[in-house]
Amino acid sequence: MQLKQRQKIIGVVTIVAFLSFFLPTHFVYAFWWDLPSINDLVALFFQTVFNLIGGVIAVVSTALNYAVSVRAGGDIPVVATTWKILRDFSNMIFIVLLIYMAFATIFDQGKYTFKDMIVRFLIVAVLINFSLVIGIFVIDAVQVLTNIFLGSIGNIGDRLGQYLSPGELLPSSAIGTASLAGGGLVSLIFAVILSSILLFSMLVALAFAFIRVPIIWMLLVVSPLAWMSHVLPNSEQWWKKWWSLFFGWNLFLPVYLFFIYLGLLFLSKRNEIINSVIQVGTTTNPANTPLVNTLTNGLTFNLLFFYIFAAVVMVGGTWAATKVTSMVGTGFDKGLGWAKGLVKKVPLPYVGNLQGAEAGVKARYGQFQQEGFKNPWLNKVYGGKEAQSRADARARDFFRVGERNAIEKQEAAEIATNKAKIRNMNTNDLRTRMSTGPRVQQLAVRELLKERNQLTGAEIIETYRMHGGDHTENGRKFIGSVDYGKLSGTERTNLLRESTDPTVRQKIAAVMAEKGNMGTTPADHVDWLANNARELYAQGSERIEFIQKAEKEDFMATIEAKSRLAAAGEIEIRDGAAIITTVPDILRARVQKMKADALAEVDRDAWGTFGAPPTDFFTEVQDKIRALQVAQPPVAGAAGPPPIPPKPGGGEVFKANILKEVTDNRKLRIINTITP
Amino acid sequence: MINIYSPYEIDVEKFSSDPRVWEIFANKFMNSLDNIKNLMLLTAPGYSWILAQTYDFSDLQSADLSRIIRDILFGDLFIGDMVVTISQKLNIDLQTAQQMSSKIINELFAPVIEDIKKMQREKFPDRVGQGGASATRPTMPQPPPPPQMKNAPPINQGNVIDLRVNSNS
Repeated sequence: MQLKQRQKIIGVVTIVAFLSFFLPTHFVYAFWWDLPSINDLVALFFQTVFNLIGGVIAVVSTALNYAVSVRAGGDIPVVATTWKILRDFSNMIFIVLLIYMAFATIFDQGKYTFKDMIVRFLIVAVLINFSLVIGIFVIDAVQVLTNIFLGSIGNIGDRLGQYLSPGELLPSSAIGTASLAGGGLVSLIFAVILSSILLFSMLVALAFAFIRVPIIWMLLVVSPLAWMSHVLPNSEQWWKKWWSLFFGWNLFLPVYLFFIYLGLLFLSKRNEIINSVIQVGTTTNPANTPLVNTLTNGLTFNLLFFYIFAAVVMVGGTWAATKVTSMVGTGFDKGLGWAKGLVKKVPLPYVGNLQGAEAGVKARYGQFQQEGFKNPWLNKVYGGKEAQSRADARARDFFRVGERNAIEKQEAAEIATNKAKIRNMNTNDLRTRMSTGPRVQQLAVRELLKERNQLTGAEIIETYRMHGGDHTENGRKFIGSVDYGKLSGTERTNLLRESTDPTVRQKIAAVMAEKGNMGTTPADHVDWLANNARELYAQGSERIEFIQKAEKEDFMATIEAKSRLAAAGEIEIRDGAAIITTVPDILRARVQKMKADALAEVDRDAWGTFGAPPTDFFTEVQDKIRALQVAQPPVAGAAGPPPIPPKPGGGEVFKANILKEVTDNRKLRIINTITP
Repeated sequence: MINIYSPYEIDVEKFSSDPRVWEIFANKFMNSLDNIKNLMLLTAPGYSWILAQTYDFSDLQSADLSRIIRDILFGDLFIGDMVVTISQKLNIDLQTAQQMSSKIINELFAPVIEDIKKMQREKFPDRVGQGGASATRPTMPQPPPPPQMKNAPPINQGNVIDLRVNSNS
């Protein structure tokens, strides 16, 4: 309805304006009491309007000049005071955020957990107190740019007046005396229209130039809240919005001034531009001739074009400034992201660049989540997912839920995982990590070292204890895979004493028997063999087999130990059908059964000393050889032809076989004395 | 009773009486390869007996032959010197010694010939050439070199390849 009314009004005004062209334009001669003609009234009206517009333009240009010179930043008491209130309020919110973060972490609420928020939380907690300073810094930085244009332009009103020459819009003669016949009235109308355009454009610019200051102040005041909104993922949009507005309103002025500067630059060169377009001299330039012959002012095409141009620049500059700054504001995030990306790609010592470092930190954080603290004590405070899995397994074990020994299986799995991670590490590095870090990692390192035969006996025992000894399956498995031959006698003795696992003890005792770790004196050896055979083995045959492992170290002790056990009925030794228990019988029976290589390995003490009386063992071996020689006598050679070589007897061959296997020159010397 | 045909037993009693000598002998024996030990203890005595019968050796000659075989098996005697040593120790002519040496190498040492070659190369690197077979070939004493000609025929040493350099190696 309102639109129709406005259209009607515009239509009526247009018709009236059109009809006014057909009114008489000559001045009517009249006396002073005569009423003025219609033309006089119209001319008076337009001149009054023109004058009014001119006055307003003067005021607006002064105001615009002032507005663009106002600095939004600096020490503004009202802004600082209200900012402090909001800053204190924001600091209070931090406490709430901390509590919120704690609960979110406990309940593992996605983006609000400690790990997700702590970095931003700390940054914001610090920077929120500098939000005013940061805001003023941005304003001052933009002001530098603004000052460049202001310095180049000077007073905007003066420049516009200088280049647009508004005096040229007025008719050449005084309105009161000049005849409005011809183009006089038209000239006035054009002058009003053009000056209105100029006024409008200046008003738009003035409005924006003025309101930007309170808006920037408002943004400064609420800056603590904007920073605060950066902490929570869902409120981060407000933080972005704040920066968008803040940058936008700060950049409005330099962008607007840029367009004004560009426009004024064009205006200052208007004659040159026109001439270069039309390519004629200034004096004969048709653009400088009045548009209508009857016009009584200097309304030329030149003037008309540049008035419109100035209006377009003034209004368009404002529009463009708002667009550009909103783009800047919208692009703030993108710019921030781009800047972050650029910074991340800057080469850095040790870590390559920030992006690499970030990836490294992420990987390290992932490892931390998995394994927790490296320090064994701190690991008890936070041991990562592995610790949680262990705790779960321990709980399952306690409540007897699920599979048995869940904790051990979990630990074995973790050790295997850790071993896979460090399998390619060199031995020296492994050794440096052998005693550092969480227990599971230490065990993984030690197991790898054991596989490479790089653990000392003491370290093997230490590792076995770390596994939990015989109380754990992992401990038993570990110690069961150890080569006990690599341990010292003392270490084996300690391990045998410490271990409670029968299988492990049997293995250790067997190695001890083979290595002669049975005590100091021959009597000790007998006791040790007899006691351990009795304790570690239930079957008589197993006991005998165990005792015989010591034959290379103390043959006679094995015979005596067997005799002791046989006499006690704990083993049964037969010589044919007869059960024997005495040392001579057992010795004889044993030697008779032994092959040449086994006899060659019997300890030196059993064989005796060269030149000394023969030992019982020596005598038994000699008897055996002689018996073999009797059983298989030598065959003398035949002279032939062809000659047939002599054939050695069974005893000679057996002796030769013993000699071949001997590795001790003193034993060799004694064995030589055996005569088949 | 000592078996004079056994390279192992021939001096073992004598060596046993001196601990220092025994230790040297015992270490040589114990460090020998099993097949060499086997040959020394079980195969060689019978073979030496046959040789003694074939060549009608005295006990002393048989004992010396056993010692020569032992020394070769221990690497104490260069196999290239076998002919000369047999000839000298057993006091027989070079032709017979050559014949006997070839027989010993081709028959008695045959199962362990590669081990003997290896040992001889280690013990006598300066005397054994790269050709393994030639190392075990007994060499006859060389006739004295011809006297140097005062006026040697002119030889264009730049163009003629001196085959003599390789013929001895």
